[in-house]
Amino acid sequence: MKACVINFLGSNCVIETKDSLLKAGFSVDIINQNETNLADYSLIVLPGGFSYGDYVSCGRIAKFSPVIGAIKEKIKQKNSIILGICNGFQILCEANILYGALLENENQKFISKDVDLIFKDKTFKLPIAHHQGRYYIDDINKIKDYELIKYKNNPNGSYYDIAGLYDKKNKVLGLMPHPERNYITPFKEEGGKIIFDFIKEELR
Amino acid sequence: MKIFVYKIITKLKEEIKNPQGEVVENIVKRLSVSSNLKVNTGKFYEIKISDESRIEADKKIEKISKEILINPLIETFEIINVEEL
Amino acid sequence: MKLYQRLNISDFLYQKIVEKLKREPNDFETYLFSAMHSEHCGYMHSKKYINDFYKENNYENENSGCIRIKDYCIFFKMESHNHPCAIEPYQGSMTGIGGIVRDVLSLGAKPIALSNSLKFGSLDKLKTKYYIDEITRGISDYGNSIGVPTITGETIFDKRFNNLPIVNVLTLGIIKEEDIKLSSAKEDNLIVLLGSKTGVDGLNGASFASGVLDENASRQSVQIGDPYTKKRLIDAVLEINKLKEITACQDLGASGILSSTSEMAYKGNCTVELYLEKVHTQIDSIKPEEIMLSESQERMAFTIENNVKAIEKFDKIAKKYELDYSVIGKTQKGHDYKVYYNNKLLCSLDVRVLCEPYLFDLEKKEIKTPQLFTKKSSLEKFLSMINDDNFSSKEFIYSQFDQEVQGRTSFSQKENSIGILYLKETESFIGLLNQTTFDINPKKAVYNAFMSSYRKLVSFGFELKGITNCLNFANPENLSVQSDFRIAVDELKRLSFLYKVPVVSGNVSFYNEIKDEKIPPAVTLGCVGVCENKNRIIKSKINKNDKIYILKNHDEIKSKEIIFNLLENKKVKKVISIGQFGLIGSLLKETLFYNLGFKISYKNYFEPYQKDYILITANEIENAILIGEIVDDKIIFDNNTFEKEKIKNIYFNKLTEKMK
Repeated sequence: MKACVINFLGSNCVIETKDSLLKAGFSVDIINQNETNLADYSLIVLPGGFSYGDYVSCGRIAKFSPVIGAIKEKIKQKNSIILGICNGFQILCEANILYGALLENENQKFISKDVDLIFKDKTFKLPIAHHQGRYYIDDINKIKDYELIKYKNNPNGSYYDIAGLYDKKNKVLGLMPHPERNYITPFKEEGGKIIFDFIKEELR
Repeated sequence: MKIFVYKIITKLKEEIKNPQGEVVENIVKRLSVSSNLKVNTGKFYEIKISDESRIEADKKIEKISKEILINPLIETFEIINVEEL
Repeated sequence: MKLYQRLNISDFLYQKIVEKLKREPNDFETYLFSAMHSEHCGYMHSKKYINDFYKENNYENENSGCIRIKDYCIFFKMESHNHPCAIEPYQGSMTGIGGIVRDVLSLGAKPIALSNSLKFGSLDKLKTKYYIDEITRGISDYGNSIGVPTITGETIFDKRFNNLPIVNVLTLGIIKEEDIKLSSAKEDNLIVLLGSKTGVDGLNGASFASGVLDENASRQSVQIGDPYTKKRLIDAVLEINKLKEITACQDLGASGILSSTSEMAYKGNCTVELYLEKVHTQIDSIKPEEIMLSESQERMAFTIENNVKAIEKFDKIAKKYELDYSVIGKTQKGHDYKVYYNNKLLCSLDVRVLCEPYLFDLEKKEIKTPQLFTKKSSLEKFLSMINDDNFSSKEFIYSQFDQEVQGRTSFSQKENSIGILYLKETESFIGLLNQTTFDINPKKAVYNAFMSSYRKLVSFGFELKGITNCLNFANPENLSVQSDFRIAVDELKRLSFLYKVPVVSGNVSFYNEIKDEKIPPAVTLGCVGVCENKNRIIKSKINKNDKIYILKNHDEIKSKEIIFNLLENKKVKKVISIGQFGLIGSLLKETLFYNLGFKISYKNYFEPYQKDYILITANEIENAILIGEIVDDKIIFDNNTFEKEKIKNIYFNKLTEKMK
């Protein structure tokens, strides 16, 4: 199966995301924000980082990239999964592909730490690294059909302890924690498997 | 062509918890300056734009503010001043 | 007042310049000398003493030096950014990271790790909290955004730094040796400037950092950081340096265009001609001398073959990353440094005069320091350790740094006192740490910093392979500062030869003084260890009832071999070297991390930097002394018993509370 990682100007988790997808069994292309032909890909990944420096707000500028329009079209075909990690999740929310928004952390600081997560009756650890990761939603009913990834101990003030969400209908997964950082590195190879295995399962 | 200078502020919607505002509230209370206040914070933009007319410029600034400067789910914007140079 | 006096060139140094030049410099040239012959650029008080450490052909004359693993070079360097941080801590710390990243980038090496050594004043001072907040935020905003993980660091609180925060930052990068680009210009090439527009920010930063701080120091001397442009610049430079048409690369740091182009010419033995009207600038009204001295951030200079095809290739990469560039000059045979502005010749100097400032001699006199003995009971010592801010967890600082971006971090400061990176390129591990120790005797301070780093690396299975340093001192015109500096440098020299550890790069920061306050000698070491045997690295949890041993250390190298052997054969769960707070302090930090306590009976509990190692294991260890065991909820040594929960709470939460 073929996957792509979108290298927005300022994205900085491209290489390790690509390496993780390779380990998960995908063949991987790195494409840039101007690419509009996504026909080949069954998995499209918006990686972590600071697209456009996150200068106005996280993910705000990236949502105007041509690739975002192509992703919206691709979703309609229902033959692929879209994955947004950290900044990628922020972009998906800004672009209204996932519902909700990500606010500045409650302590107003960047938080880099390992967190315990719960997803589909499994608990596992992944690192978070963000300044704007407090998930906000005005009405929980709007995501009642989503599957949720939740923090065991909410690190940033996210509403309903939400660390990430999966829109089953549209096959879009967004999460603040970094699965690619606990998958390919020696002595840190565990938590990411849960996420990548889930994606492979969904694509089956 | 005329040049207009717009001053725009964006801020979080009132109903959303604003930790920066809370920090200011807490320090004000701790210093016993006032115990009854609500602080919101936001960002300030100054945009110089050249256009045929004020009406055209207004339309563009409206679009820029709505689509780029804010996320309507969480933020609002307000044009606080316009000047023609 | 003459121009040179206004630019802070002393009468003595001005005379030296006139002698070498055999004429008076014109005004424009005087600006150039004020920067190039400043302490910051010219290392005038230190250069005679910092060039003969142990070396192994480590590119130590470049912007950073390296150690080698297989066919790769690991470049690293540490640099100070003390003066800017004292007056504008947020921008100062941002551009500190920006500057040190360029020093490995200019060789073509990909930056893969950062670390820092931060020294702040007493936490009882409001100003200290301001410095901590702003400097931490600056490093966080910049380092995280450019995508380089901060894998380790040290933070020290000491009232002697109340108004003089010390910010030393380190970058480590990797490149295949055959792909390295050096900084020596070649003849008949073009000079290209890539990156941000040149503006008036950071004007005269070099001469600013070469004087004692005064309270009215201008914020205009501080540069403004732009991490988003830096991220694109890093990616672009890594791509550009792969072009065979690029003949040299140099970063723009202190004294911007002036220092980078003159050093390229000086190292490459050629003439440089610059045409300043070609430089892309922030404002039109910028003056020629401002263009030369501006320290606007996020810029790099290259020499490139003089042909259309080469420029086309360059242009394509710059456009891809949305970066500006301009062709600002050319190189020729000769030794001249010529600058034109709109066809007017502003200066024509022998580049060697420009790049070879007068070097001072420093006095050295051996000092006898009184040994201070304090009579305190071990209970008193324990309590004062627990209440020392330097003992407490610094999580509130390092949790603001992205420690795992790039996916190479096997262990960061979240779990270890050293950062451990996996290099997939060489299938080996790098261990990194920063270490400063203080003592009335600078020789002992350097010895303790060096040996405790050596042992700490050994305890994790690493061999110390290379060192970088920041030598932070007060005013070098002061005789006792001169002597302290020379004693410290000589000791580092001795140890580097004794253990054959190359000092691959370094930095000197003088004039850390304000009014009547001055910093103590602060020699920060950046230590890089290598482990090529994955079996030697252990990730295992400490449990209740594990035994605690002491391995007596009679010979550093022999002990290293014993420990490597224990680690490889999985005979131990954890090896701990002994740091500033002695055996108890080092053991306590480790057990609290696993939410456990200990019960031991031994001696010298609080003696800092002992040579011996602590071993934690479920096995029996021969030739080591059993001193106790891991327990659940108590900390017990001799007749002293403490509740672990209480100690743990102070250890993890005290500083966060204090910062509120």
